[in-house]
Amino acid sequence: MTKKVAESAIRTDHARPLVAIDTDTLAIIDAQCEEHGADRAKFVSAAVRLFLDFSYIARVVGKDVFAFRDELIRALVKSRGKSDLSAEEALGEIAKKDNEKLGAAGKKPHAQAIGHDKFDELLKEINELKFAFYEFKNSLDIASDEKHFKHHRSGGGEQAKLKRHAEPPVSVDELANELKNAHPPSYKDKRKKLNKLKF
Amino acid sequence: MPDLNYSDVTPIGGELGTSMSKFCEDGRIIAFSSVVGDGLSDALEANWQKMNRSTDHRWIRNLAIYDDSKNMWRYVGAMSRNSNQINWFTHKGVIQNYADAFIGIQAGLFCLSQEREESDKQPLKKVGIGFGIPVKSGEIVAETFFNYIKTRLKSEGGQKYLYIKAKNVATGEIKELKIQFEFILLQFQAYGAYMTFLMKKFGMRLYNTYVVDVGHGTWIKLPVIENEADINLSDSVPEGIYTVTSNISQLIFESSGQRYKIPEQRIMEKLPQGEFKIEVPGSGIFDFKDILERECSNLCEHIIQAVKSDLVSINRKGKTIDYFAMVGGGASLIFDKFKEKIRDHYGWSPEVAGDRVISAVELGLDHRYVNCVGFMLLARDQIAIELEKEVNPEFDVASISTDALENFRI
Repeated sequence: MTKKVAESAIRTDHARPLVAIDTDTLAIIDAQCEEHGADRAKFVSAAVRLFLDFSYIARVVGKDVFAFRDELIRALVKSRGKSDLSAEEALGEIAKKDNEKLGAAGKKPHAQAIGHDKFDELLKEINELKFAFYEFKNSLDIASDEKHFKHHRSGGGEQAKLKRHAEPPVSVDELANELKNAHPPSYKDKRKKLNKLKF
Repeated sequence: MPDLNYSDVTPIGGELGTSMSKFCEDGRIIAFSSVVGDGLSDALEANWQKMNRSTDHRWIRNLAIYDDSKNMWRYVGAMSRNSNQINWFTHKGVIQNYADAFIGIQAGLFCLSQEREESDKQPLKKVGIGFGIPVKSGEIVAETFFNYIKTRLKSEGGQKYLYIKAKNVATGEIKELKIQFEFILLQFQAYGAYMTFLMKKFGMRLYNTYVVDVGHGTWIKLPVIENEADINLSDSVPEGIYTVTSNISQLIFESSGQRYKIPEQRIMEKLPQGEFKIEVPGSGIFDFKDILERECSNLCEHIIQAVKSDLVSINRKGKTIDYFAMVGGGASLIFDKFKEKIRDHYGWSPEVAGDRVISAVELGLDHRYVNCVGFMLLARDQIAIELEKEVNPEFDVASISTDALENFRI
């Protein structure tokens, strides 16, 4: 389906070409801006950054951003006792659960309130997840720098530098290693005389 | 202060498996069936020698060890094919008879020494042994078996010596050997595999490793957490490849109207060749590939249930497993299934499962020998500690000798 292009458009701060956005998307943006009390530029800027963060995390775990979003929601729902749901079903389950909670507390469920609670909770969990991944990213960067430094010292030089930029930021091996104990103790520090049976 | 008594000790690794006993010294491995039998009378043995047309005259294939506790020759491994009665050292993963197991140790050390001599090296003089014993009886057997061995050694000048008198029944040659025993280090059987991974794959880093050793008669589980075997979770289960092949044998028996019983050994022999068809007299060719697949899946399911249950206990203690290793003769049939089950359990990608679920093959070793190599490394490490040196983690298996028939021609 071809989407209609809106007459209005979003202008960037710099003198760059206008970005044409279809009316449906623009309506969503405006609704979100109203909900969060932000202007369009601020909202788009935040959305783009969030998307970049998410696509980085998704790439690290070997998924595209949308599959990653589904997995994330599924994991959240699973942690609340449900599993094997699609993202849409999962969101429905969360809303239903929240409704029940409000009902039990003698409050009338309110769509917007539920949305806010849910959104806040999700954001909180996503923030925690993001923090964990930033730590993860940092440790990978350190490991990658060390590797690069070693390679550079062994004569890799400019070629290695170029190759490094061409490589994906995280290889499967690095990822697998990272999920194991990242800093296993050395056997050399732990080896000890065992109880040998002496004749 | 380094203890210089250890400077001339040769590290040996060994294990008495349910079907095969394996011994390792440096790059040499010898393996023979864990079975002994009474020798033939002198007259019968002389007759056998005259009629024996096999050209395989190796010691390991035709070995007899003199049992001074019974004052008679005992045939070991393949040579026990000529015995009236045979005894397996271990049954259901437990040492059944200390005297027979002691013969097994004598045979292992003699064959290793013989291999050295054939490579123009000095015979074994002084050894320290890393030894694997089945987990279930580990705590009890360690002390009593050691005490038994001590009674069989001879004391000279405050040192303990093992005297071995061996005969090559095919050639009639008799050799005697005297080896000084410095120490023996008894460990859970699967711990050898852990040592091998630690030194060769993990680069001397301590990763929590869950080892599953699938043998002929048993499978053993041994979680190693922070370099220590988890005694509470380690176990030896009397189920192995024998269970699979004997079930197939039983099925063939039933499908033939209970007329023909194909020994499970004949089915076992076909597996390494990747052959899955067997001729059943009167019934034709029986293809057991599907049954084998099903039986292996059942065995794998039993293993994975135990592993999952242990993972819960491990996680409760706040620990996680970095690697899952499957070793032992049965690993060639079960490993891929095991890897897939672990992958499903964690929701890992194939690449991550490939990294975290490991086998001896990636170390360039046969599944069967990884334990005895590890025990050799364990003994080597203990000698290095006594000498206050770093341990050499390198090994290169250059030769493997078994008691299976070689150079067969008539």
